[in-house]
Amino acid sequence: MGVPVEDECKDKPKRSSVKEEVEQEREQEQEQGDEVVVNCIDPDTMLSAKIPLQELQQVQECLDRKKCPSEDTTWFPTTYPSMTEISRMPLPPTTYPSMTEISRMPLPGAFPQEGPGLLDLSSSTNASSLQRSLIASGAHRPDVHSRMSSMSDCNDLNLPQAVAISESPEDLEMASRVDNKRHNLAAERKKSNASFVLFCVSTLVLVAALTLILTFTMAPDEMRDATENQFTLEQTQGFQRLESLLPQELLEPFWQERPSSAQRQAYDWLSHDPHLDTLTEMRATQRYALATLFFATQGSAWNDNDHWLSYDYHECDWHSGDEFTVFFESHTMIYPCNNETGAYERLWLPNNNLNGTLPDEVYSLSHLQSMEFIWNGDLLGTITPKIQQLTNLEMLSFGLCQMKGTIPSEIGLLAQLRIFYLTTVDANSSKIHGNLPAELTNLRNLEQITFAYNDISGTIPTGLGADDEPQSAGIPKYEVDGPLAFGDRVFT
Amino acid sequence: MPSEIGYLHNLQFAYLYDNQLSGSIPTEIGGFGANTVSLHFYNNRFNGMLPSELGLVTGMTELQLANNTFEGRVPSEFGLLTNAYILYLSHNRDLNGTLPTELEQLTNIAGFDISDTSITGDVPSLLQDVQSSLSFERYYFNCSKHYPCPEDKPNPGTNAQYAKVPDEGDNGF
Repeated sequence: MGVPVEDECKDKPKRSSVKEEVEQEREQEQEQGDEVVVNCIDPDTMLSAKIPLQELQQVQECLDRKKCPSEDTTWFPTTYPSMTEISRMPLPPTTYPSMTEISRMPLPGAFPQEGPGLLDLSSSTNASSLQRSLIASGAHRPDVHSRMSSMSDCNDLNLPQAVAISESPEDLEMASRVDNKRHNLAAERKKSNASFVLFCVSTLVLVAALTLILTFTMAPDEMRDATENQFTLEQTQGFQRLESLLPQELLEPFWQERPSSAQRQAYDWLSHDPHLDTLTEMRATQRYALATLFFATQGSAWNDNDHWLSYDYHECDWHSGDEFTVFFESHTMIYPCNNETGAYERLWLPNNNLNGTLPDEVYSLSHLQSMEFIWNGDLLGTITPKIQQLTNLEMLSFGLCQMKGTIPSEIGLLAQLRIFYLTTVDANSSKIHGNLPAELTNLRNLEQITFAYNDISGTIPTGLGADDEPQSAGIPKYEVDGPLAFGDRVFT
Repeated sequence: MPSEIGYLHNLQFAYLYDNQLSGSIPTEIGGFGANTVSLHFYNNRFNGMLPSELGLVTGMTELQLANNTFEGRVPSEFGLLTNAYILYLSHNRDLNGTLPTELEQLTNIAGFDISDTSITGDVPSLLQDVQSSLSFERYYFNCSKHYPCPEDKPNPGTNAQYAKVPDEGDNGF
């Protein structure tokens, strides 16, 4: 005899269905002797059975329990679901099988015709046949559960298995047929479920594809960059060529930079340099840093960008400086590099229509003695602490640009600094804020400072102008300065 | 009077105008020395007395302290600024007292303004006829065809607020 392995106790929708069916059918109760018999329908198989109400109530009690009774548990529940748990229980189904579905369902009368009437449920009235029908229809009885000691958890839900009521061949065959029928039904349902799942997946894929298409066609640059933030084999190989050339601090940002960033463009540009093999680290760094500045400030639109980014020109021969007059002094085209070493020492791009944010890479030009960006009204950016890398810096000019942020205290490490311009271009431009750092007092060589047209607050650092080597009273320590050589610039 | 001459004796100019700086001018400023040509501290929130040490900055050609909240008298040491041709002290309502007679020594003076202050008494005759027509931008930046002067920037040299010669109405004469 097969052991019933089905357990509906935890199958809440099914339980609710049974409840509902019971309620529906209860109206059609029939008096049969002393017993009240209810016509039940198993929602799983749609097999019907007439069950004495008393027995049904016992079954219902079983269904209502959270856990099926086993041999060593008490029959009556000791705990009841809380309101919260109840509220989380699934609602009974609101849909019912269509006529088409019903027409495909096995008719209870179809089986008895082939057998000795053992499953003639409609006529079952005695205890034996009731038990039979319950078992056959997958309903539950306490005595059935009591035999299921191996199933302590009701969640193990398997297909209901029909149980023959006796060992007779007919009964066994009938049980087998019922089983087959149910398995076919289950297979059909699974197939139907599979179709539904397939439909859902297809829809999802379609929606995802549409989203992607919209992203590519309508998303802002940032989103497009994010999806395109991949490296071609060529780009990766190009980067590998730079690995032995550029210092680590310039290589590290590579993988984080967006494809449209000035840095990525500079990597690409430099990696295609046909003379790459002949470059020293110093020269590769210079070319990379200058290329980054070029890309970051729309170099293609500069007033003068002669030879910039040309592979055929040494970076020292790229345009530098201009003829202009500022603060009484005339400045002319200057050669930006050291004649002997080729080190880039003077980054002069005054009045050159630089438009964009000054990239930190310029601070990698570690031999710089002067930076002159005066009168680039669209040059944005901040002076970052990396400025301390420029220990040779004598002149730092962002006159009439649009610098913002604060003056970093690291400025005090630039012991050679003599000229420091940090004025803004007009009243509406971005401005420097914060205090004048006390470290300014370390700059004993200061000649010209202007921080006009900003939002600098606080006090003038005490000690600015103080002498840490006091002279004897009344003897001024005047030095008669001759002309101060400064690049090609001469102060008189 | 401080004995030291500062290491910033090479300082030529310090332009801190148009900010929100506060506090008093440190007395160490006397250490700026003889090469200092101009201090532009106008349009800030500086306060306190004008340090007499400013008179030690003998190289001073311009001293522009207008539109702050300085108080007290103009130090007689200002008379040592014999190279000065600009001295703007206007719009400091708490500057008071009379002008020191030593200002008669400022023989190079070209611009002088004490309007909108509480300074009383006689203005040295040397300063009474001073007119300033200096254009700040053109003077300092030497604007050219390559470097047009920004038109929307304040121009202290020509702006009446800063170039105004004091009149009796302003100073209660």
